[in-house]
Amino acid sequence: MLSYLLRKLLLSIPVLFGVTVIVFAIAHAMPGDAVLAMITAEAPSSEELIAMRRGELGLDQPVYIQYLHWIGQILHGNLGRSFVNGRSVGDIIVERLPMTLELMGVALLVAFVIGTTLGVISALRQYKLTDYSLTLAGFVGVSIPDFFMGLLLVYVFALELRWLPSSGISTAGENFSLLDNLRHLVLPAAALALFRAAIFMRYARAGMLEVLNQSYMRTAKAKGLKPRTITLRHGLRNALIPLVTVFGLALPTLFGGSVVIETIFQWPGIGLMFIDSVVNRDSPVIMGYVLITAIIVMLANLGTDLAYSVLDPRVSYD
Amino acid sequence: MRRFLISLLPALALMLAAGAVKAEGGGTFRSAMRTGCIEMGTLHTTCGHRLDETVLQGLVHIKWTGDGVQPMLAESWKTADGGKTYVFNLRHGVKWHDGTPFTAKDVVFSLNLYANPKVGSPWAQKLSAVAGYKAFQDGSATSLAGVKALDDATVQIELDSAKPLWVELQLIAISIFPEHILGKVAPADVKGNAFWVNRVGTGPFIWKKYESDQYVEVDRNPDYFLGAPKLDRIIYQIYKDVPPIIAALETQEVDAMSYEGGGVPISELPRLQKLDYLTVLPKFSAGLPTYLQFNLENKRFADVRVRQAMLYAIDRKAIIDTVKQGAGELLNTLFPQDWARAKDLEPYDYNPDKAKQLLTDAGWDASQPVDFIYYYSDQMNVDTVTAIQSYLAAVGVNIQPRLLDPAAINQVYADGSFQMGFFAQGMGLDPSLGSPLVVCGAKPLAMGYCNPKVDELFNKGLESNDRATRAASYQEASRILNQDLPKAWLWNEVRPLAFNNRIVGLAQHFKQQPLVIFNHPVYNEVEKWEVAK
Repeated sequence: MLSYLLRKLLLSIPVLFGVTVIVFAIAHAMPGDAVLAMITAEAPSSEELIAMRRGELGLDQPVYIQYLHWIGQILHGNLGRSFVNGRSVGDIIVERLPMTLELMGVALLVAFVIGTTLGVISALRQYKLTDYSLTLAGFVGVSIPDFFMGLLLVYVFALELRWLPSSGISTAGENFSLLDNLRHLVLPAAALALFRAAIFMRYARAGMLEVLNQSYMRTAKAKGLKPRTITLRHGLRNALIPLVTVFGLALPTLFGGSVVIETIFQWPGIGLMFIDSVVNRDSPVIMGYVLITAIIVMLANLGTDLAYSVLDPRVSYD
Repeated sequence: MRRFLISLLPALALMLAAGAVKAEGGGTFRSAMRTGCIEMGTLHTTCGHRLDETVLQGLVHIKWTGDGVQPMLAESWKTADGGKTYVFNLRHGVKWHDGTPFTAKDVVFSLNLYANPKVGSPWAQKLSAVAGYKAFQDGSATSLAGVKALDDATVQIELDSAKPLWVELQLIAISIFPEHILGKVAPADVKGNAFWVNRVGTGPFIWKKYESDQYVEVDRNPDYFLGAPKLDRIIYQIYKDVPPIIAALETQEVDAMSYEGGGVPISELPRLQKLDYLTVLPKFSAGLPTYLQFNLENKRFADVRVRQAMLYAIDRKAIIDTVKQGAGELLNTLFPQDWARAKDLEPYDYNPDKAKQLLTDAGWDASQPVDFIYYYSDQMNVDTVTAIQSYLAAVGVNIQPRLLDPAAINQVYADGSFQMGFFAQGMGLDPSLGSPLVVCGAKPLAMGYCNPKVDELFNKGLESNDRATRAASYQEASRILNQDLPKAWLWNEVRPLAFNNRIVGLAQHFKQQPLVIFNHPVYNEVEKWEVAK
């Protein structure tokens, strides 16, 4: 087990390295650079000023030198400084990551609980009206992209019903209160969660149906156990195992989704920061974002592997 | 499970109800700001210039009515030699928000900070007329020779030559900074310094709190020299995108929209107009001439008949009436200012037959597509480009539009790798701001156009501060630009704006403002605004 863990962790180093090379190359291939992104028509900058700024930021160097410089900083545990405002990228990410994790964590949890519950209900009522309605709802949920879901939720709950705030993480200028924060969280988290809940529901339904036909379920019933015990202890536990994989795989798409949702809801997390950094060609911030999300996704994959061996004794790693 | 869900319901209801009635304190004005770049600082971006109206300030600000300037930190000024040397009398008894007295030393320091080559401010050029600017920029001097403190409350600024409109057109862009704080920062470290997220100014509001990508909170300054503000505080709420601003305006989460990056989208206008708590100004002029850009270094566009043909080919009236739902005023020359335009301009009315004829006469090669760039990505502008594309296709000009972001646009402008484009230029403040588009050798926007007569008229327009005298120069220039068509002038952009009536003074002042003034602090009597009883 331990050797497996170590092997996995060691393997992730070249993968991370590869990710940074590819993203750095893509970021460099975008037309324009950080200096050009800052020029506005109101204040056309002279050639000298542009050259001076490029020199300061090291943009006058060949791309491989820029990369080596960046990777050198990383090896010293330093993510560099933003080209736009000179702040430390590490500080910016530390400041913003908790907000993204709050949004993603709540969305994932809600999606998992709702999706699994409905999936199990759907399986237990197979080919009945409940099952058909939930299946239909599931397809609708899977088909609506999260940005559209976000706009729809704003329209209904913020603009028409006026129940919830339309954007932001809390009421600006007020002292932080959890209730206020949660009210702001409802719509963006729901926008992210509904799509994923539909996916969890489909997997939970399939998993549950498979388990229901297993011989040990019949045995349990023959022993005279209560239906609730059979469903929860013998059925659900085993049906959950494949869901762990889906849970782990949801994380990368959640990072992608949060970029869009954070922009729609002005949620000040790392997704919003990432969009800005792309527009500004702020490569230290782009790279910082990619590195952190890549590490989180890899750790999540590792966690999924480990959870598997805990949940299913048939799986073991040597 | 069902029981669990039911038990959640009251909690949920409570959560929703908490938002229904919001008890607001004494007087908070919430204003949307479409930017996240406050951290860069005033010297490197004007995108947060509304903070230079309320926290930091200049010697003079533009007045919201658009006619002249308002004395701010300078109480008065005079020039004895027709605008070569200015003497500014500063206000007495003004204190920085931290209690330190404001003096002439702060003014001298600030002008030098803008012009310092080590700071690298793009707004340094606003001071390029000041004596000694070139020497400072190329390193042969260590400060601006033309800027002197005569005593604690008097500053003299000497220019290279007489510029009667220097205060009205250049000085208004300059903010004054506290020397006792920023003087301790090395010039190269001024950009992104912590000062910009904890500003100490002289204005009606005192910086209180900044949360990145969320808001800036400023509190009233009871000692403000133009009178203590009636509002308790202003919260500038930061947004990246326009749609959440419109939603927040509708739900009354903000009182004022931003106007820098676009007004109310046309599709949302009818909805907002139905809300009785909003004042909607549907025809607010953006002072933004919109035009088809030609890369005149490309031989295809060298013949003026080709450029005229493009204008005849497009039914601009139809585009304004349908796609833009009225959000535009036809324009046949550069200037959005009525007084700067001649009355007898060629109207270029829609005439596709004439367009085809002109193209044939000019020997236009219809088989070659035209690379066409633009960067306004909102639906109305994307639709507008599509309409232009189909009008041009009908006469044999096959444009292929490419949507680019600002960095990419600047790249293709720098290397000249495009043929045509769809652009606009904010110049509501004064017709002279149009010069980067049309004077000889102006990079990057003039794109090879050069007519010495136009240059001469633009220079002449700045020689007097009498509007009638100036109008003669600009009107003549407007006629030449109408004939030469260095760009195909389309329309002046109209930008619908909306404000909440809760703040008394807000909509009232914007109603009196003739057009949007971009990237400059505007004095609009904010200290007199208040929350409606």
